[in-house]
Amino acid sequence: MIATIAFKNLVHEPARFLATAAGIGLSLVLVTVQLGLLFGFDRTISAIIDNAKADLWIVPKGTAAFDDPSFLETNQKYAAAVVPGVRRIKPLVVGFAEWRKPAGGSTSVIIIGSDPRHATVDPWNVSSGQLHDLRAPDAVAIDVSYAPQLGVGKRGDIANVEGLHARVALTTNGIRSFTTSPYVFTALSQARAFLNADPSRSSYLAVELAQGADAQRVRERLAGKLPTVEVLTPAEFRARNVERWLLDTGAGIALLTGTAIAVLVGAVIMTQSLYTTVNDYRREFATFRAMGSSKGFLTSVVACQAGICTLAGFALALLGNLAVMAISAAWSLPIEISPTLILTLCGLAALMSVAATFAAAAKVARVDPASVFAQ
Amino acid sequence: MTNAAANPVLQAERIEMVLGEGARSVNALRGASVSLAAGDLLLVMGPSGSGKSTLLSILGCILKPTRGEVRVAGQATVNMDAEALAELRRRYIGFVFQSYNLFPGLTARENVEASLAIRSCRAKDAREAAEKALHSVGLSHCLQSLPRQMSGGEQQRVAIARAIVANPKIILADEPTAALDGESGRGVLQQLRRLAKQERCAVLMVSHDARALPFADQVLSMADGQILNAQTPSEYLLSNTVPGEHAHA
Repeated sequence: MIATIAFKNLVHEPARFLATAAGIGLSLVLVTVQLGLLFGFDRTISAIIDNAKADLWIVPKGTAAFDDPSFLETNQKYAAAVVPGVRRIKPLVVGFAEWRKPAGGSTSVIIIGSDPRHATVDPWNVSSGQLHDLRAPDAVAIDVSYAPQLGVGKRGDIANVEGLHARVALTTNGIRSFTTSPYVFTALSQARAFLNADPSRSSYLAVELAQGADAQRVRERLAGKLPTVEVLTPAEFRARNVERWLLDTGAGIALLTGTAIAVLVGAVIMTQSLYTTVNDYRREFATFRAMGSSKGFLTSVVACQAGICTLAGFALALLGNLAVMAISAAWSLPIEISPTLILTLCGLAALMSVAATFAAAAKVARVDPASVFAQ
Repeated sequence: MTNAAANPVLQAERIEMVLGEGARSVNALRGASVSLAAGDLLLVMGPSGSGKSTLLSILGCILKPTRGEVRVAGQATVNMDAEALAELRRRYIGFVFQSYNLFPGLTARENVEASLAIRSCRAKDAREAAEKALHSVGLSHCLQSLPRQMSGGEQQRVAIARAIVANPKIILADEPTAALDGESGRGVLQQLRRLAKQERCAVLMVSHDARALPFADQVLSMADGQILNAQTPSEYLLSNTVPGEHAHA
């Protein structure tokens, strides 16, 4: 009966109920978009590291982020290769280069070069072409979402990188860079050529461990043998990357601040919407109280009303989020709405619902039952 | 004649009520005493501001008096907290309000069931009891009607069904006919009379409505927070009728 009373109280005035549900839904969409942006940036920032096949990373000392590389010393690859527990050392070359569009104009790109024979940082989400196509001279892979910026967008298109031909041999869809410079994947030797680097130099070394090798022990051995580098686990390299972009840059801090504000504003709007709705039924609650209802009963009705409004708002938010996902996909926006985020949102909505229940129940408990009598 | 002196269900003695504080305080009630027994139908009449509603709130254990004692079914209420008073209301008192105070989104039956829901009654039992109560006030045909689909008289009868469904010993009615036309008002008054005489409820009704006089056993006249006298309806009519005029409250 409590649920019936709560539900019918609400739907009796559909306009007010819909307004409340819409307010809650919009708040949740706001929170979702902002959290989705944060998670999306987190994923974008670490996409290369997350998709790389490395058990350990050897990076120049003081490396702040993957996209901010310098070169290792030439002999370090060989020194690392003989450390017990290491199966293979896979060099990676990363660096900024100037991309000249076929129709004129140029843009900055981040070249990522790895040996196509040993998967290290192979492009993923391939939309056309094969990975072995990158073994050909001057072959590069680009993401189609950057086609307007790069001036090329399909296999066979030719551009120019630092004076050398770059032929699109493979395209991907959805590999976005956190910076304004698109990633361009190519073979290790081609990357060195684009970056005018010595054939023996690398930006990073991806370490593949021998079967059964203890990563921590191998790491200690590598660190002992190579005192001028840092040896990081993928998780550490990822964390460093995220920290660099989110905490050390204005854009990152703005994003974090925006997310915090959005969550706060969303929570306040949602709680306020629920509280106001419940408060609108003071007369009914006063009648219940006059009839002898306990505070517990009233709190149950309030909680039920808050729950129903939250559910309705959540349903609207899901619809809104589907629209956001569609827009995000169409415009390649880095908004990641994952099942985890939806669960987080669900938890947040439940929390706000409980908070609103407490606030409204306290108000309802103070309602004056004498107000139901004519004065 | 009432039998309140012999066996009161509701008793209030020397009730005083001061509303507000300091210089703005008002003596809403000044030494009012009321006694009500099973089967009584007591009518409280008086002009606006005479303290009728305040008396009703105190007798209904909704307000606590500044001074004086209220006993419900023999239980003194003076030291009870808000929750204990609410429980007392649940157990012994049914209310009928001037503007019905039905829940607009609930059907007639659900409105009556709500009265049992606050008493933790099982849903099936509540439904049966609600239908029985509505039947007793002649509303078997309105079970699924929403308040807005019913006339004022029907709504007030739903309110009466809601008040009686838990078998209270006491019914307190606040201007139950104020918003009703002649026929509907008479129907509601007949119901209240029936509750007193057939169901042995103690009924106290606050009203301005002279139509209620023939249905009452006794009339309490109030003015300035005091009960001026207790009369039979005939005595009241005689003392309040100017030759050549109809009685009015």
